[in-house]
Amino acid sequence: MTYTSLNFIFFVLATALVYFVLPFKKYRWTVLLAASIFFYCTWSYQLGAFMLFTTLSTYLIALWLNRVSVKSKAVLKEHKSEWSRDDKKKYKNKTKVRMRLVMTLALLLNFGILAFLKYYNFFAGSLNDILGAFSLDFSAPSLKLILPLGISFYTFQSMGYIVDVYREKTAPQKNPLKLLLFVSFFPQIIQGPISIYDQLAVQLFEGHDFDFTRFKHGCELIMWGFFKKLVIADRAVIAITAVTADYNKFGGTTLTFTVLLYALQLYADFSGGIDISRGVAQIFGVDMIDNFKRPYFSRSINEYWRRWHISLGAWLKNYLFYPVAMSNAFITASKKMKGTRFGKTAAGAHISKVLPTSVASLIVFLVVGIWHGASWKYVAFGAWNGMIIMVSILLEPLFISAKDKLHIKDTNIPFMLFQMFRTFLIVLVGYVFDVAPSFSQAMRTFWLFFTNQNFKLGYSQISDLGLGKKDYLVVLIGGLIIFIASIIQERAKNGLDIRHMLDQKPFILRFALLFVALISIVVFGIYGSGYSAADFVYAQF
Amino acid sequence: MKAKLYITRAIKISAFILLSALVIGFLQEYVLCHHDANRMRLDAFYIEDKDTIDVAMIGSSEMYSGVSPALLYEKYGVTSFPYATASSTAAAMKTQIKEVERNQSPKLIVIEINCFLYGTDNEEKESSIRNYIDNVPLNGNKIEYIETTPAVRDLGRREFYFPIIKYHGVWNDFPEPWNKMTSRFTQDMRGYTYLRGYKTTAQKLNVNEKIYNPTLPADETRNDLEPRYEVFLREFLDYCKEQKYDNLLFVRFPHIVKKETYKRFTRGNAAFDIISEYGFNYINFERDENVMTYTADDYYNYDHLNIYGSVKFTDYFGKIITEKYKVPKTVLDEKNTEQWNESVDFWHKFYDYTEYRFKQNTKNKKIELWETNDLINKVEAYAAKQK
Repeated sequence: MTYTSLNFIFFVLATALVYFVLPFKKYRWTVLLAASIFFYCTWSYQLGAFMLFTTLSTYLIALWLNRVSVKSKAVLKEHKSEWSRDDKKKYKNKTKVRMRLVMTLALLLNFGILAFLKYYNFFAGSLNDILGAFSLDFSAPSLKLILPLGISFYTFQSMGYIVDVYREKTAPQKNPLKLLLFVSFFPQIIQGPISIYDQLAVQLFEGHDFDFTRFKHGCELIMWGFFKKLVIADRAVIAITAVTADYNKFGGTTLTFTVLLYALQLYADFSGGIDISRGVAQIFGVDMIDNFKRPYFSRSINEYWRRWHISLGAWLKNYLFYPVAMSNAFITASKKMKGTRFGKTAAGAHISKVLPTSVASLIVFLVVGIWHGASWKYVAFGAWNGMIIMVSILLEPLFISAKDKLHIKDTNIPFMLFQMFRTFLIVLVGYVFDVAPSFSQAMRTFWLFFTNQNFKLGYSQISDLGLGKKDYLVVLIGGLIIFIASIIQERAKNGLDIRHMLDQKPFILRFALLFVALISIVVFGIYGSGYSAADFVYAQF
Repeated sequence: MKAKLYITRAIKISAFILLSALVIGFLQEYVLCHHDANRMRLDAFYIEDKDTIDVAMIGSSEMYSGVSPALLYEKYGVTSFPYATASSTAAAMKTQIKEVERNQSPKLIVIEINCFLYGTDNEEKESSIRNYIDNVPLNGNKIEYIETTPAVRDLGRREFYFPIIKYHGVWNDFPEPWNKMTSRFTQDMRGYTYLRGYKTTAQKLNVNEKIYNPTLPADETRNDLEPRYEVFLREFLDYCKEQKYDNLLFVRFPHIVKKETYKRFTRGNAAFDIISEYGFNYINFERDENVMTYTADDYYNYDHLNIYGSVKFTDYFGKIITEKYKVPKTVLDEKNTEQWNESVDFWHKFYDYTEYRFKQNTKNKKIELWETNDLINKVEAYAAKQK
């Protein structure tokens, strides 16, 4: 049952009906849990065992962490008067180490499963290549591994919870079924967003009353998601798949076009899916984090990553970036550099100050790259983004001084447009790694961009990618609609989203807009047996 | 105050749902559907006035290319209609007979047994299934067909209840289907058609292999029906017997039989035994020496008569059903009489136009002719020119 199927719509409506009809508000979360389990089983009930394992291990380890913490506090209280400050500190450190070990156990277990299922074959293949280069007679076997649905998302989410319990920011959940709901909540299981326990859990377990406005807004968001996914993304993916299936056949012009089309397709696909997820959650009174804030309007790559896949960015910032950047090793290295002769210069002072941040950024983006897939091209994707961010942090004073010398203000519109264009180009370079079948093909693509632009050939190749002129027109108009909606949203001064803005418009206008949206989806959507609907791009993660 | 709010909301939501349903329903029926001759023919059947058709012909393509209802009316005063679609499936026969009975009270139902004679699987072929059922309005019979046909279940029942799921991509074919779509509007507005489902091809068959027709009238060779098709036939006959139909005539329409289709001919002989076992009438025109003398010039391909063949065959068939099966002349009201007379007039113009297309078609290409606004205009223009 995919999010864009009719079955899913009926399933959501039926779940909503049972949820709101159930008289015991306190137990309404059980309806969500039952629905989530049912939804997961429609994909694969066998692979649900992995999710159950993650939930169970997370549940037990969180309780263990809490027990260690509570016990330590009790011991400290008991020996408050007897122990010296040093003793207390020693004991606290000992507890901290114990807790860290317990947390590491959870991380190793769960990320271990994820890493094994997702990356074993990649590493085995790479190992075999290396050993083969040295003529060593060893070959790691290749395994047929199936990734459970949403494994990355629920693993990241539950491990975030474990770290929060470890940091004592969150009290552990005593009810394993409630934790299972947090891990498996059906609107987010396919492609996120990755929620933080404190933000999501309270909303999940609280029994909500039916709220018409919320229901209406949820339905509107779902419809918007359907439009983006079915009308634009699933249409564009037909041409993209045609290119990736026979990549060597195409020249520079077609590949340039494909990467541009991919930028639209990926955004429409991922953000459309998230809109559906958020819309469904909203019907049940759950406000999930918005994963996108018009990322193609970003003026720097740093900003882009704060607007694109926000929940992953936030997770990585909280649970990877800060621990790395604030680690003793990084702080010490920074301090050491500051003490050198180079560190005393203006450039050195800046570099030593931002070194932990920039290196941590590079590490985070390497992880982002690997998270995207088990292939060197994704490592390159992460490295490209990380390097750009690292360089922009390190050279920031130079940029500022150049701007000052040229008397360019940050509010200068042509400059802002230039920044957006520049950022978009950097993003597109990253997308080449996504689109190309391999790292070497990505390199070849860059070469073709500059050496093989032939518009006549490109036109004939683009016309033969499984989409007709009318299809391209639909994609173009769909893209324009997203663009206009994004501008309206970006310019909204009071922070209202479009749905709230619409509420203030006359009924007839709202009615007409929704009606046109619905008919557009019905007529122009890619669904039914006449088409083969594409999976959500991020469902593979 | 709250009650007023709830009522307003309920009205707004209902209006939205109703309008959406109406527009989507309209699109499904007229715009985003599979526009072809099968759709036009079945639509033409459903717009006929109730109880005005005396001979309903159900089955496959042989029916609408073999007999011209307008000519049959002109010569024998009998109204008829081919409630038939290309490569009709055996599973659809029961629904076809039910649909005919639901809309008309025919004195004779002629059933072409082509669908039971297949050597290969036609039942699972999506196009064969959809040629028929997609063009039947939603009613109990259609629902029963969708629910009980395994092949439909495999293809996904929802797309049969809501064909727009299957055909919404048709917008991409426009403006090509425009003529067919407007023709559909026109015939619905008019309330009847001129050719009454007849379709032909202005082409003559080129035979360059051995044909068996001259020896077939005396050929008693029998080969069993494919087991699953025998089951289909027997189930259908059981149903007809249960319903106590006494107005059925099973037929095998004429074909040019060659080596590849000879086995099918022999299965037609075997079908005679089964049908007779149930006490129903069966005419195998492939065993009729009057028909088997038709030459390749009377066919547009091995399985279908062209307009020359169908003129001959309509005459012969009319004679049989009126003389042997005692189908009386139809008594129609003034409006319907006028409409059928119009059909006859148009038929003659159509015949002339088809002849003209034959003459033009020096390369013997496949030129399909069936009632659309475009064809009507061309026929009328040609007739005017001849005057």
